[in-house]
Amino acid sequence: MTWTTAESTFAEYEYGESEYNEAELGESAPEVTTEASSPFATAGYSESTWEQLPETPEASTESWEASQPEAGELNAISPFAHVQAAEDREVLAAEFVNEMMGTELSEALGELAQEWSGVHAEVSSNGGMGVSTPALHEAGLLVTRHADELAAEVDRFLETMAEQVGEHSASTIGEKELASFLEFTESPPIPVGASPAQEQFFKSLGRLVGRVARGAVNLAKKGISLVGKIASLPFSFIFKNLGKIVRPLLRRVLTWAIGRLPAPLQPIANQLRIRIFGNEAEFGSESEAELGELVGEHGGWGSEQALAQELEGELAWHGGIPAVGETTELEQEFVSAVSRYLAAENEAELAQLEAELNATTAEYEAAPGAAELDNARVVLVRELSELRDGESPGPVIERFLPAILPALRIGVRIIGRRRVVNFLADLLAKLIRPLVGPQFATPLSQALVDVGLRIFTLETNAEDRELAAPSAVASIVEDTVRRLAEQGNEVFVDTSRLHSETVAAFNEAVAHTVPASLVRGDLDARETSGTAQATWVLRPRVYWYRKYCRIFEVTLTPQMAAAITTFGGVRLADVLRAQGVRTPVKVRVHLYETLPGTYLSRIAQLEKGVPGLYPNGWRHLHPLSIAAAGILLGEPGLGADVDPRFTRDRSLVAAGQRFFYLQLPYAGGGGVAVSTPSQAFVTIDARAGRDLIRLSIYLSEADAQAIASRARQHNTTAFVIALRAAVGAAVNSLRISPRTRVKVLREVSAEAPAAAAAGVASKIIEKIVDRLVDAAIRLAMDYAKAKADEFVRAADNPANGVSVLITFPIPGLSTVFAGPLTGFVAIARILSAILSHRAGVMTVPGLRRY
Amino acid sequence: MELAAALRIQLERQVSHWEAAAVALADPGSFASEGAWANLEQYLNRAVRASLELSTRTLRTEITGLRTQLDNAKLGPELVVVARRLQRVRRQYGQVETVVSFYADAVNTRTNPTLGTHMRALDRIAVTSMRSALDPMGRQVPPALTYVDKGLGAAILRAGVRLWDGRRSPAAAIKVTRHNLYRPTALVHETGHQVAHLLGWNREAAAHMGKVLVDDPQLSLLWRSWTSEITADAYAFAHCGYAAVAALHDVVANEIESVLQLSPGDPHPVSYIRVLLGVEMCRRYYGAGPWDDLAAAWTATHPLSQAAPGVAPLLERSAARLPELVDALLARPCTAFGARALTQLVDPQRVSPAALEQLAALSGPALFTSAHLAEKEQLRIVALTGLRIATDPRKTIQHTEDLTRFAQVLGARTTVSLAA
Repeated sequence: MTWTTAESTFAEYEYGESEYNEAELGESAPEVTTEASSPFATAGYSESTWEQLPETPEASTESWEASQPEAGELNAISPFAHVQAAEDREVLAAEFVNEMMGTELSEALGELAQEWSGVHAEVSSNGGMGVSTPALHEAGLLVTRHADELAAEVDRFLETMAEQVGEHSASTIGEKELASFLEFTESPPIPVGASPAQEQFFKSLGRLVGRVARGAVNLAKKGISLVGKIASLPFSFIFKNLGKIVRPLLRRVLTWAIGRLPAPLQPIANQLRIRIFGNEAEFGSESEAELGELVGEHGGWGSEQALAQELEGELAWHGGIPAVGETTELEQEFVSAVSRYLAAENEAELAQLEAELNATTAEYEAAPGAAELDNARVVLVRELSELRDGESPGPVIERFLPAILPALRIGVRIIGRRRVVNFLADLLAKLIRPLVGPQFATPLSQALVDVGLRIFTLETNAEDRELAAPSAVASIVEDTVRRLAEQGNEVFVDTSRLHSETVAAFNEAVAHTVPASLVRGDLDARETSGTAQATWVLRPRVYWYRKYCRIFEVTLTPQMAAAITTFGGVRLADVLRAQGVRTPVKVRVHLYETLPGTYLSRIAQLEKGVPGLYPNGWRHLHPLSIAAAGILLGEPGLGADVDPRFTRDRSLVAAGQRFFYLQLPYAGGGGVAVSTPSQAFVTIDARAGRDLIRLSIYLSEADAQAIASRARQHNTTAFVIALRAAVGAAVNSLRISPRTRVKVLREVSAEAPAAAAAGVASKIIEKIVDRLVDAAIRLAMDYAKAKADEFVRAADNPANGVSVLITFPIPGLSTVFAGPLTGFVAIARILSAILSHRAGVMTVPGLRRY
Repeated sequence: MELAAALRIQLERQVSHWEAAAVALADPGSFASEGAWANLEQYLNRAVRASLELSTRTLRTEITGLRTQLDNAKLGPELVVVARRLQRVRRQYGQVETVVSFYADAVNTRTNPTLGTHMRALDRIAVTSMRSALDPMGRQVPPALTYVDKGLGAAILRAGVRLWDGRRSPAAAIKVTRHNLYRPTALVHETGHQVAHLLGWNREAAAHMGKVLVDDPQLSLLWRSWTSEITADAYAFAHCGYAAVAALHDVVANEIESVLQLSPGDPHPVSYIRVLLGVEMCRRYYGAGPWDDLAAAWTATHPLSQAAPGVAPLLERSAARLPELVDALLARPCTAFGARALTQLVDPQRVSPAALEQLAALSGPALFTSAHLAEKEQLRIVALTGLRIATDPRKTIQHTEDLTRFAQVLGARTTVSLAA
C-alpha cells in the first residue's frame, strides 16, 4: 500500500487574536477528559494502579473504579522500591489519561464495528436469503481477514509515526519539533484504499499518538519523573510497540461485529452506579459519599464491591438494554491500557499487560454469540411452525430461552435456576398457545402476509408465507422476555410477580405484533389510533430486526425538522441542511426496531429494496423517540424513548429501540451524502494557568459556504444574519444534549490525582451552557463585523466546515474547581466572568471539538 | 476403443473444460482488481457484480445440466445430443465472457486510485444529470458506470438494454474519452440518450420537429432521422451551456470533407449544422456571446461550396430553420417531461456565462475544494470549467486543474460524520 496525506484539518494556527496564550505546544487546550479505569477488574485482575475517579459530565457514561495499589506490590515489580514512585505513577497515568481522551476513538471503533457487522451480515445471511452455518463461518473468516489486514496496516502506520518523530524522547524533543509532530499526527497519512471507517480510525489513532507525545512532555515539564518508565524512552520505541495494545482492541471490536454479545466491561460497582444514578448522574464527591453511606447503612457488606455484587441485576434497565457492545467503554479501557503501558517500568510489566489484554479478549471471543441467538431464532420459528395440533409449545420455548436470556443481560444466577426458566417457559407456552392453534394461526398468517411481508420487498415464497405466523409468535416471545428483562433480575425471583409481569409484557408484545383486527379493541397497549392493520414484523429468514409494515408518506416541513432531535442532540433540520436537503420535502418514512445483536449496519445491509438505505445508509437512521413519532407521523405511540446514552451516536443502540429512515425523492443512485451537521461543544479547562472556558461552534460545510458567499459579496448585514442563524442552530445541540458535549479538565496533581476527574452537577453545566450560548450569539454579531475575512479564509480551506472558537477567560476557575463545586458564590462567579471578560474569537477550518 | 466410449471421453474433457472456465468467470476479482472494484460506489459495485453473478450462474447451471445429461447418456445417439448441447454451451460461454470482459475492462480503468476517484466523480455527475429529468417524472435513476477508452467520441451502453448474453445491463455504461476526461460535457450528452430512451422523448421530439418542418418534407425527414443525437445535444446544452457546444465543436472539427459529409442512415447530424444548432441554442438563451465568434470561424472555415452536390442546399435550408428547431427541442412542452418543456426541468440560465461567473465569485476558491459545493453544484462546475477552457484557452491547464481538484473531492469516499 502507498500512503497519501489526508487533507490538513488545521491549516493555520492563528492564536494571536486571543488575549490568552493558547500557543503552548501549538495547541490551545488539551482535548481530553480526566477519566481512567481499571480495565481488568472483571478479568480477574483484582488490583489496579488507578485512583477511583468519579464521573465527569460528558458522553462517556461509565465511571471508573480502581483501588489503590499497595506500595509493596509495586516494590515487588519495580526496581524503584519506594512509595514516592507509586504516587508518581498514579500522576503519570492520570496525566496520560487526561491527555488521551477526546481522540474520538470510540466513534471510530463504533464505525469499524458497523462496517464489519455490515460485511458479516451480507455474507452470513447469504445476501439476506437466510442464515446458514457455512455462511456464518465464511462471514467470520472474511471479517477476521479484514481485521487482520487492518492490524497489519496499524503496525505500518505506527512505524510511520515513529519515523516521523525520529529518535526524540520526552526529555529531548524541542517545542518546534513537537509542534511539527503534533501537526503531522492531526493529519496522518491514511493507507490508500482505506474505507471511511478505517480512515476515521487511523485519524483517531494519529491523534492518540500525538497526545502520548504531548502528555510525556507535559509531565516532564511538571517535574514528574519519567525515569525508568517506558514513557522516558524514545518515542519511536513507544509508538512501535503500541501495536501490541491496539491488536486486542481490534479483536474486541471484531467479536462484537460478528455477534459476540459483550459482557459489560466495567466492574459490577460501576454498572451499579450507572443503574442507580442513571447516565447523567451527578457524580462527584457527593455521590461517592452517598454510596459509602449505603454500604454503611445496610451493613453486612464489607465493601462497595460486595454491595454491588449483591445488588447485581436487581435494578431495572431503565431506558433500554444495550443491543451491542459499547465502544466508549472500550475506548476507556484502551486509554487506560496505554497509560499503564507508558507507566510500565520493565519488560515483565509490558508482557503482563499484553497477556491480560489478550486474556480478556479471549474471554470476549468465548462469550455467547448473537450468532447463537440468530440460530436460536431460526430454530424457534421452525419449531413453532412444526407444532402439531394441540401440541404444547413449552419445550420449544424452553430451548429458546437459554439463548435469549444472556443476550438480555439477565444474570447467570437466574439463567442457572432451572425452576425459574421452566416456569417462564410454561407460562409463555400457555400464553401463546392460542396463537399457534389453527383457529388463530390461519387468520394471523393471512393478515401478516397481506400486510407485513410486502414491506420487505423480498420475492416472498411459499415458505415465507408459511412462516409468517410462527415468526410473529417468535417475535412476541422475544419481545415479552425483553420487556421482562428491562425490569431487572428481581422480576424473575418472585413467581407471582413474574406471572403478572409476564402477562402484562405479553399483552404489550401482542399489541405491537399482531394486526389490530385480531387484537381486543380495549387493549391499552396498542400503539396507534384507529384500526390500522399495520404492525411490527420480523425480517423474514434472518430475524435480525423488525420493520413496521407501513411506510408513511409525509411532507416534512422545516418546522417539523426543527422540532425533531436526532443523535447527539442535533436537530434533524441541521442534519438535512448539512446534506443539502431542502424542506419542505416529500419523504417516505420507514420504521425499524432493533433486537439484541443488531447493529444499524445490519439493517441497512438487508434493506435492499430501500433506496439510499442499502447498503451503507445506516448513518441516515435516526432515533424514533415518542416526540419524533408524534411530530413526524402523528402517532407518538410508535416511538420509544431510551436512555440518552443510546442517542449519543449510532455505535450504541438498545434492544427494542426504534428508528426512522427518510427515503428522499432522489435517494437512489448513490444516495444522499453524509455530512457532519452544525453543532457545538464546550471545554471547561480548570487546570492551573488555563482558567478558561471554550465554546467550539462547528458550522457544517453547507452552512459555512452559504455564510462565506455573503461575505464575498461584501454584504455585511447578510453575513451577520446568516452567521447568527447558523450559530443559533449549532448551539441548539448544546441545549438539548449538554452532558455529551461538555468536557471538564482539572489539574492532575500528586496530592489528588482523583480530583482531576471529579464530576460537575448537571444543573451547573446547564447554567454555564445557557450563559455561553447567550454570549456566543452576541459575540457572533461583533465577530461578523470585524472578522469576515478570517471566516472566508477558513471556509476556503478544503476541510469540511469551519469551527468558530470562542474562549472566555475565567480568572480563578482552577481554584473554584479545585474543591467540591457546590457553592452558589462560586457558580455565580463563573457565570459573571463569562459576560464580563473579553472573549477571544477565531475561526479554524474543519471540526475542532475542544 | 469403442466409438461411443471414445466420444464420451472427448465430451467429458470438453464439459470439464467449460465447467472450469465458467467457474473462473464467476470470480470478479480474477478479471478486475479488488482495488478497481473498490473504486466503484458500493451500490454500483453490487449492481454490476450481482448482474455478472447471475450471468455466470446461469451458465454454470446450464453446464451442470449438460454434465448430468452426459452422465446419463449411454448410447451413441444420446451422446450426439449431448455434443449438440455442448455447442450451445460454448456459444453461451462466449456471450457471457463478452459481457464479463466488457465490465472487466470498464472497471479496470479504475485501478489507479487517482483515476478511480475521478471516474467515481464522473459516475456521480452522470447520475445527477439523469436525476434532473427522471426525478420529477418519478422514474428511478439507473446506476451509471463510466469508463475511459480511446477515441474521439463518447458512447453509452444504456441501462436496461439486452447484453450479449440476453440479460439486461445493470447500469448505464458510459465511455469517456481520454482527451475529454477533464472536460466531460459529452458525459451529459450520453446520459441524455439514457433519459430520452426511458421517457420516450425522442418520439415526441421527432414529431415536434416534423411539425416545424412540415413545409419541407425532405428536411423534415432528415432532421427526424437525427432526433436521437439532437435531443442528446439539447440535454447537454441545458445542463452545461456553451461548454457543451464548444466541446462538441472541438470533437467534430475534422477535415472539411468530414464536417460537411452527409451519411445516409447515420443518426448523427452533419457536423456543420450540428455545431450551428448548438450556437443557436446559446443565442436563444444567452443572446450574443463567444459562440458568435465560434460560428463565424466555423462557417468561414467550412464554406458550403465545398460540400458534396445536393448537401449545401439542405444545410442552407437547415440553417434558416435553426431557431424554430431549437424552440421545438427546448421550449416545447412534452408528455415525456410531464407536459413541461425540458428547459422547465433544467434551466439553461443557470449555466449562462453570467450565472457561472457569479457562482465562481460567490464561492471563491472553495468552489473546487468544498465537498458541499462539489455535491450541490457538480454540473455547474463542469459547465464553468468548460466555459473557461472555451473562452480562456491559454489558461487551460489551470482550468483543468480546477476540474481535477473538484473531481477528487466529489469522487472521494463517503466521509464519516463524527456526530449526527
